[in-house]
Amino acid sequence: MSFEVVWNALNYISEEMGIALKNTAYSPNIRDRHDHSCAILSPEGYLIAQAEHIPVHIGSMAIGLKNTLEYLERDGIEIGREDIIIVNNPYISGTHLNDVTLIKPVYHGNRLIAYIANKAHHTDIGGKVPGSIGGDIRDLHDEGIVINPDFIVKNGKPNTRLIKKIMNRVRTPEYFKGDLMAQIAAIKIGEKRIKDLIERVGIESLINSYMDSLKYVEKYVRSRIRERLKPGIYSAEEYLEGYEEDLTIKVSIEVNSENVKIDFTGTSWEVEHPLNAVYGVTVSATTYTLKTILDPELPFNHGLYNVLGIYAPYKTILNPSYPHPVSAGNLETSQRIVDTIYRALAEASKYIPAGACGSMNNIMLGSKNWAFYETIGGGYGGRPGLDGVDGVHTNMTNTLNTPIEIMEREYPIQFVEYGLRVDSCGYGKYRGGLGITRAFKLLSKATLTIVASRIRYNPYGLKGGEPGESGEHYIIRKGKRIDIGPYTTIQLKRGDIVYINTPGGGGYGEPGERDGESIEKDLEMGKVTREYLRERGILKD
Amino acid sequence: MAKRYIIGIDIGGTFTDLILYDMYTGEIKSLKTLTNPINPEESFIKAIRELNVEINDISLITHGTTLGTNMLLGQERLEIPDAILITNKGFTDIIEIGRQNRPELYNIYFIKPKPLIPRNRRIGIKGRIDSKGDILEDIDVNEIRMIASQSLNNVETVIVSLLNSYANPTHEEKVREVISSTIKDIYITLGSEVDPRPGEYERTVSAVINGILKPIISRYLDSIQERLRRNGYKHGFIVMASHGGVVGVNEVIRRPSQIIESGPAAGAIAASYLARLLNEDNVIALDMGGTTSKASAILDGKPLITTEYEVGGKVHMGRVVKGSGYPLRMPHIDVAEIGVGGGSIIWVDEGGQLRVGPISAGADPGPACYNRGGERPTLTDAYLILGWLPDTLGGGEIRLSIDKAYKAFEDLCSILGLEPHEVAYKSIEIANEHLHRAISIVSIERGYDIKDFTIALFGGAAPIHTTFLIELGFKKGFIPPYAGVYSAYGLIQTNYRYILQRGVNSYTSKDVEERLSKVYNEMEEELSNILAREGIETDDIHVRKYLEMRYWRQGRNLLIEYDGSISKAIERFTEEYRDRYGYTMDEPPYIEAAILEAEVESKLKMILKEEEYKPYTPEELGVKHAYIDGAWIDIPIYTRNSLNPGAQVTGPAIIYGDDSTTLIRPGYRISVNGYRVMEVEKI
Repeated sequence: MSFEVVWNALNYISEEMGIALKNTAYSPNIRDRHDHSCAILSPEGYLIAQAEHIPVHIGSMAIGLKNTLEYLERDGIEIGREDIIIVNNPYISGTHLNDVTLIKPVYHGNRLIAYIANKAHHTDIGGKVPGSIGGDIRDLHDEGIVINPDFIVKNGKPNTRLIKKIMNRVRTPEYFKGDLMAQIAAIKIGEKRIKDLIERVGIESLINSYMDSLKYVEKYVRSRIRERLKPGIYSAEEYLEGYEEDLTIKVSIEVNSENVKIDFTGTSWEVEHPLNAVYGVTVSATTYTLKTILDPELPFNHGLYNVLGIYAPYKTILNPSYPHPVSAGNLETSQRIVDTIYRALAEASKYIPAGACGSMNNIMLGSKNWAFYETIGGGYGGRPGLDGVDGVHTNMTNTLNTPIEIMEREYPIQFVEYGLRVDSCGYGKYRGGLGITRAFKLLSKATLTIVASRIRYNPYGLKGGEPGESGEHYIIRKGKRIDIGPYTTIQLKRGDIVYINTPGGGGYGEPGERDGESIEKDLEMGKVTREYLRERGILKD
Repeated sequence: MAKRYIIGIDIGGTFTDLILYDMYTGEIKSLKTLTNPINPEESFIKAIRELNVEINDISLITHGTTLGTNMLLGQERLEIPDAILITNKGFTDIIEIGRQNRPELYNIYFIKPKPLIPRNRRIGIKGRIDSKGDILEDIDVNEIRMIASQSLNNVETVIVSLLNSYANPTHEEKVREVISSTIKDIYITLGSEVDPRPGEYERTVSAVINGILKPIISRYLDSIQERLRRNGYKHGFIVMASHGGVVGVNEVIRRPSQIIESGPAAGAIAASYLARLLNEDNVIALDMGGTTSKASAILDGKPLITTEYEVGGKVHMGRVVKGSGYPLRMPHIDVAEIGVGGGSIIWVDEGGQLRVGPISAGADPGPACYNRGGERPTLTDAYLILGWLPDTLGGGEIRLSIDKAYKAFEDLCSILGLEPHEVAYKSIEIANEHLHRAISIVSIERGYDIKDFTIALFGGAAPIHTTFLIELGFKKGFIPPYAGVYSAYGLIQTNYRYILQRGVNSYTSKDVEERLSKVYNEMEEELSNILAREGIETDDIHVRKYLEMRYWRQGRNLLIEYDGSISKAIERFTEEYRDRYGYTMDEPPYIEAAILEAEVESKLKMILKEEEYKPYTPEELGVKHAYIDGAWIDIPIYTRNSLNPGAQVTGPAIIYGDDSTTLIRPGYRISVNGYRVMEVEKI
């Protein structure tokens, strides 16, 4: 059977595993926000097929799974045919501690024929702050429980000792267990489907499809590079608010007809705060950006990395050393990597948009026995020929919001406002999208952690477009306003109201070139006010 | 001979299909005309006139329409009526923001679906209810009166959707009361009556869709009824709903979102009728047309229903892309659609992979071999190159050109370095894999094993793939007569069906039984009101009760039959959950909603009669040189019309029909049963 048929089937199996996982998971984070991925690997550890619902898992999964298998081999750990391995150490599996990875070998007779894996973001994995993300943390081990590759299932039986140990360390053990069971069930479904596939197409077709599909992706990507990117060397620099000092991400990109080399030399050294992005995250953000420019339907597997060379110097925030904390690396830092690459390639491609919101606006809320995590969208940047998008998840995140009614039912909070943030767009020939205002009142005391950037550095405009409005977050306590910085953990009292105002997108092209009809519409729909237009000299009276 | 005919009319964006069944003779007639997009009701009457039958010999007309969907997509030349949305102050952007996700992960040029009610037509009011249903702040009646007198003049329809109204609808009801006492002649739609479940965005969208469809659908149906009356028609007129049953006009106007996918539901209904006729409980229905293929699953003789659906949503590889359309949490037939059909273009992508679809040559220009200007290779050209098709299609209307087919394949052959028949065969394999995917989505993904199913194949292109698909593990394949227009049959084969739902939101404890019995009593009362309004007087009603259950923290429910015993429902849940996912949790399940489904046997529908037969071996009409399973061989040819009940044919064989061709590979056998359905089995 041809590789097309087998590879299509493998991609479908990955998807099916993801659906089963989503349908049975307990935390809203997986079941509603789809913060999970499933994949199939060759026996050599190359990622062959993947279904991801969130960009931060593309690329990082390929790197992380290969690392995990190498780790096991180095330590002489043999995985039996009925064993499942668990890992969340980001320095091995490639994102942050919340992302728990499971991996299982698949045998045909005595022959190892594939690995199946999935990764899911658990709402809480222990550590100092509810939700296990952000906070003033200096060491990975303070972010939560660090699991090096270990057996979560041994000879077909769950490793109850380890499961209990983890459950004792996390704030919401019943969610952890529900999600873990869902992950194990999804692995088993994948294994069964691969065996069905072998029955249908034969073992050799399966094995042959691996190399063929890797080569196929490589060839496809090269052809897209020739089509979409002008050869040359491009560079850019962007800034990310730090806990203390602000951080720099610097990139130099060399495009030729065969390869793209992306070099992050000049980027800030690693920090004693959670903004470090493990190498897997750097690869994800880079892969995401290139895919959006080359082809939104770009087929993906390990073959891509024969074309894309990604270098991040060791001990920088884009390739830190263990055990630096990393929980916010795949949130804020990854967004900034995307911004930086887009900026650099603005001259290499005519498709590049203005800066998007640029932050995931992460909210972690909780107390002793509950934890809630969500990210809030903002404005997407103006695009050549098209306005940006209002109130949407941008770039490295694309989760669904948690419905207000679900949050009010499950947590002690009550919403007071939720809507588009008027006037927050960067104006331009094609304006940026509006950010979001989301505000809620606490019905009991709780710990709030906010991880949000683009507070001092606005989302950039392109080709004369204005920058978008930066984020603005605060608490109203007894009628008084307390401002919240980019990365803050704060004890909330009952009755406090939290206001989150997310950044708007940057504009594309000179505001003066915007056509009258569009300006009229912005006003009619109340997306911008008259004052906003007056300030820009667009409205005279 | 009065009242002898029943008629089904399906009005799509391009074509209007009509099917007529003569209850006296059993004769069936079909008709296809172009739809008038500005005046679809005109197409309706025109099609009936073209039939040339005495209008009052028609005893029932069943209508299927995609008007609702097309309007929401902006395809219909109808304007969305002026509508106002009343919601909580500070939360008026909910329907614009949606769920915050973008429909496409990697497309920089993505757009979100346009909000159905623009920002300046949404009004926020005072008043707030919490998640337990307690009132935190009361609504201000004066404020509502002001709105009614100032903002609702000349507005046709108003939608009221407030936070947590699923837990307590009194605020929404109060707003309705105030508005209707101030203004006459305005449609008022409440979120809590349309979709009483948590999830403010989905509920509001469901309410808005109903609210804006009400004036349009009621005008449209009134106008059809008026024209029918003017033509002297005095008998029944009913509409097909998305859940596959028919409902009366009043019921449609009360909740017009019910009929939004009535067209596609018909195919699944036709297949489920076939399933019941043949005593097959579990059937996959595969409808493969020119551009796409649709798969649906029939369990215990009934099509599988889903409440996860988006109106106007984009479909990508068999799945609706979340956030690409408008979510409508109502029962719809669960259909997986995939971009592969007889007209699908075959191409090689930039990585050298051979691909089939999703672009289609459509009806115009059509496949290259139609010789109507199409130059790109399609699946139909591949069938022809492989020797599977007759020389002409459509009863001689289209003469197929093998030269054009070869010419279209030239580029593919040189890129891949393969012979035309090799490329053609590989394309078939790839198409089969796509079909497999659509089938898997509605079967194994829902927890069912293909081995427990048979497959019914219809639509112009499906029968040719029959034996390839049986190979996936099906027990048997069925190809009904008139396979090419088979889905329109569903319109004249269905029963009345009403589905009611209520939020329960409770754990399964013993005392929930009492609450459920109250909830079901309420629904039964509502049902008898509906039936009275519909003018249905019969005792032949089958009522089924279901619970939507899950483990509390999960996001997806299982539909569990309920017979009044909660402990039995828990047992059923546990068993089904284990079947589907391979494990269970040690906690009691949770009930989100109670569902009441009533089916009323329709007396006016097509009943096929079984003919008596004896097995016989028909004579072949000739041979054709064709490529199958790796070799060119001479294959016996038959025509569908020459195969009478009892005919037995062993593969290899090709059977030419008026509107579709069936290929039987070696190792398979066909027998034609008493309903003239071809049953295909592995020997």
